[in-house]
Amino acid sequence: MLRYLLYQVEYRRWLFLALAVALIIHFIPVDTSLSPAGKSILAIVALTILLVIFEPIPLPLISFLIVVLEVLFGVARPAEVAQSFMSDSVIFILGSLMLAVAVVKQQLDKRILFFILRLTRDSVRLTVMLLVVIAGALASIMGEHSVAAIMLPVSLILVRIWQENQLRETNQHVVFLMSVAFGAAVAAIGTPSGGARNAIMLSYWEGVSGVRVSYLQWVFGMYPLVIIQLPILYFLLLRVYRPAAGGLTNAFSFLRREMQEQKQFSVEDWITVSIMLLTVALWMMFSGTLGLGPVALLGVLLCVVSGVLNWDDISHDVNWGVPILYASIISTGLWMDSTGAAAWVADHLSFLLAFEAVGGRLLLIATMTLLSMLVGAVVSSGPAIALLGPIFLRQAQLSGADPLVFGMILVAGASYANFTPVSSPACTIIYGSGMVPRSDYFALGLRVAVISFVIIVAFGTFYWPFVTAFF
Amino acid sequence: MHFLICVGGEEHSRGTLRFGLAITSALRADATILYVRPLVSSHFRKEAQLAREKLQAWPVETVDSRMMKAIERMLIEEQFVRMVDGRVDVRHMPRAEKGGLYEYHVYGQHGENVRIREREGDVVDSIRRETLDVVYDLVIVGAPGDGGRLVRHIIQYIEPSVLIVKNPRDVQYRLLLCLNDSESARRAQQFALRCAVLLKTSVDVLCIHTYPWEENVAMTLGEDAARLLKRFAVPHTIRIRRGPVVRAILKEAQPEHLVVMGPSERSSIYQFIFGSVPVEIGRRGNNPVLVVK
Repeated sequence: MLRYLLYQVEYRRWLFLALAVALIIHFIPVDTSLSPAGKSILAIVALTILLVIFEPIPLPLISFLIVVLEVLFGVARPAEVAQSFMSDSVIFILGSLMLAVAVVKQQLDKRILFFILRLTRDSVRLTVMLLVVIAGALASIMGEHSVAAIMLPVSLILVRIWQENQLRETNQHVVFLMSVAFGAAVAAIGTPSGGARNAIMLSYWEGVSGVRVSYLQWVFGMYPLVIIQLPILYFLLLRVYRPAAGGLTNAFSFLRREMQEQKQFSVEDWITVSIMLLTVALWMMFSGTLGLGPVALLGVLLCVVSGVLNWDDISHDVNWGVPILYASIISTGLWMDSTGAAAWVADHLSFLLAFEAVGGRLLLIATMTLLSMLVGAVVSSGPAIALLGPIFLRQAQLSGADPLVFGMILVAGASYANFTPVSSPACTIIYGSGMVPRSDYFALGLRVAVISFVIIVAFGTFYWPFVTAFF
Repeated sequence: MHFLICVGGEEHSRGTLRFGLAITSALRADATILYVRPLVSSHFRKEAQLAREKLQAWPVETVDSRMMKAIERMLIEEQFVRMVDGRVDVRHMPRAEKGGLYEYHVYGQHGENVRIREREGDVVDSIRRETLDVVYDLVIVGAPGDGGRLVRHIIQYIEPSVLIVKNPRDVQYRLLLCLNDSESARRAQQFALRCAVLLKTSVDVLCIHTYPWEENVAMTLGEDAARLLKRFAVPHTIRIRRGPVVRAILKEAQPEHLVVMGPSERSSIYQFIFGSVPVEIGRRGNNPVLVVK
């Protein structure tokens, strides 16, 4: 018994350390400009960062801890904490995950591979291009983690066929996996439905800055960045891995029987595609009035009523931890703002404004981009946006900048720092296959990050201020 | 008997695997080779599992992990698995299990069941969960250069007997059996006797006493051990030494020694704070250490 307890203490040492840090921050005296509730929420933020990085407990359980501490530390009353957990963004994340189940359930992986091989035959370069484009296109509609789940089998089959055709062992096969990981990661910021982090920023814009951004406005703001990034990613993939010209000669014969079964679209497939398209259309046209969450749930209802999805699929395949975690993180971000903690941190980061005085707005934007990239690479893009969001938006207020621009910089910066496997859901899942060494993320991710940095700074200086003027 | 051999990185684990397979082979035990993949995030485990399930619908072998393939290669090189037409004789094809577990079964040279398993997560926790799921007689692990943290946790928190493989060499190992007047030392003596008979090797019995008035006890232990080993015709030597236990063991251990000892009988909290003799030998010594529990 004692040995078991000691083991748990050692195994979960980061949990105890994080709790100790939170308690110290909670009880340490600070200047009166920070309210007690603000100090408490900063203690919870510190705890969340440590737990996200070291993960001594499963991530969704962090949200339970956040609820408990928000009440125990006196940030708010239980009913207020509970209310802060639910928002349109959380319902949107939940609905998007359920819709993704409908798509994942179809034999989409086989159809995609058949489509790729039919078009490319033996060309590895064309295959890489199609993987990037397809992963990117899918990640623009549904969550990038669902895209990774669909595309990982496709890329692994390609790896297997490729390896069987190679006379000597190389690491060039990694290019197929990285095409999917980075294709999905890069395109996921294109639309709000591409990832939960996008919904977090929408929630902050509304909650902190009082600005409501529609689905279509987001697409106008972010998709041009994706369109520029995808071809750059393709060329970087070819440059880093230099895949040989051929190598997939046997693919067709190897998979012929499997392919023939997958030629025809079934009725269920057509219904699923139609519902997805309808949902995206409704998001684009009516998200301002209907909201994003209700439209997503309407799509789920249609899927269930039309029989392409049943509740068992939903309850089994939805990753319930995702909405739970993001609900708690959004709640923390909003409490950071309402307790004055975000403003307090932004005040103490006002030295950043000195960059503006020295190098103008361009230098401030570059600093913000770099900061969001570094945090995104360490704690993953979602938590980075959730934790930095209120601070960036307050910083925008201090510097007289548009919060929409600063928010977009944060989303893009945190999402394009993929030089660690934990930086984005798609990279994490592909890394989990055990086929891609960590060093490959650094080699490719760093190049992507450097180019992205330049593009994001350019967008933050010229394009986003221009386009948000029409929002 | 069923042994669990835990491996880490490809190159780093080759010696551990070879050493573990040699013992497993000599004792004709079933073997499970466990590779623990670093846990990326529990957040996306469902999607990763979904991808693996989808992959199983394809008409291809689905060993999707580089390490799993490397282990298979090493097993072939060590001639530990049965081959049919130049391919490994597979008992069960690879399959994805719950909780990120992935495994497949092959036949050993003598028909033993050889399982190759992959788990995801913290190394110590994964080994611990594995030993809770399946009854193992011996857990064989390497000693990575992490300041002895893994060694300490494995010896302290894993239920079955543990063999820490340090600096494995291609030599005929002799057993250095460390005895004191405890129940756990007696169990270690029984196990060492069995190993010595099956591995056809000799045993050096080391009885250490800290104080002069304990010398008689040490000598009695040595005489009892000598009688037992003589009965089974195991070549042996008896050494009686005085001094701090850890220092005495480290001083006596020759490069071709495999140190065999029982676990500490001190309380868990004492071991947690001050450590134990097996942990210190595992951390500071240069020899493989077998802790018989």
